[in-house]
Amino acid sequence: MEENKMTSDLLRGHTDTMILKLLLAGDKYGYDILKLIHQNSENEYELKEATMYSSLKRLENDGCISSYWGDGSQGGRRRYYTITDKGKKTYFDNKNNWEYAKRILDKLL
Amino acid sequence: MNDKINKYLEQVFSPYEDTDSVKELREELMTDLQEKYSELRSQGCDEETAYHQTIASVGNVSEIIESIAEKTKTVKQMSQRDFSQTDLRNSDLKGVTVHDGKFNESDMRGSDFSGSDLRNSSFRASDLSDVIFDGSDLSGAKLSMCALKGASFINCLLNGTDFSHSDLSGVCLDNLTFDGTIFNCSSFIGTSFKNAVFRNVFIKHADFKKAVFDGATMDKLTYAVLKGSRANLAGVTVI
Repeated sequence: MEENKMTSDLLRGHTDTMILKLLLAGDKYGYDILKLIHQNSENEYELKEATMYSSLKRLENDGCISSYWGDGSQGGRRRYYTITDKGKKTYFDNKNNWEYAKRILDKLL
Repeated sequence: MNDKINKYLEQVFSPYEDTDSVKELREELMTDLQEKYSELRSQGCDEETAYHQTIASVGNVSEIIESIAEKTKTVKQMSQRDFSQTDLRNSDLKGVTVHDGKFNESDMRGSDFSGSDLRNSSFRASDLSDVIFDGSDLSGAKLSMCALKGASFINCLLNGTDFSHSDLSGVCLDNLTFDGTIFNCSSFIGTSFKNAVFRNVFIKHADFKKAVFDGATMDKLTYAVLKGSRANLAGVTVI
């Protein structure tokens, strides 16, 4: 994973939106999210556990997602995250803002 | 190997107070890391490489601690245990230990003290509406002159707790044991004491006419005083 600081900050700034997008497709637990982000970026981007959980806890505090404990694979339990209506709206707002910014930057850079 | 990962997390989390939210976070991280480790192993990584890659995926934990329950951190960091006149509304204070703490004249509406150890702490003249004290130890604590509407006390320890001049109207105090608990001049309209146990409690100038005592157990003196304050004591057992 070769990336400079600017790229990594730029990507990290969109962690919330990346997570919301994944949750739109269904409830997920922490490691699910990390794996999907790695896979969907064609192995080019890897989120740290800490970055993901700080985003999950923040989104939960803001009411964009909620969580519940469910069964895990080896007898343990896992916390699953669900997107709320507020979270859906936040996702679409963020996505639109990004599309707009991208259009402007493509013209200017 | 799970032990090794667990030890690593223990060390990473050691600077932070073990509140429920921190414990849960550790549990989430632990299952994630176990899964990552076994995946790496099944892809042919040797133990050492798999362990180091697993640990490397954690990142900076302080980043998460900042986003969970900021106020929990504040409570730990304040060296003097005096939170009087503080706005602590809707705070996550689950599992905190504050002996002899002062929360006087504070606005604590909706805060969650579940499983906390609050022995001898003082909450004088505070707004404790909708506060959750489930499973916490309030022995010797002063909850005098408090608003307690909607507060929850499931499985609390209330030995010698002082509720003088507080409004306990509508509060559910079922199945609790009151040993030396002080209820002087408190209000009890619709308060429920079902199956509660009363021993050596202090009840001067309190009106229990509209409180519910079904299935309660109490000593003779308590029974006599309650009867004097016109409480309905049908279904009470005297010991």
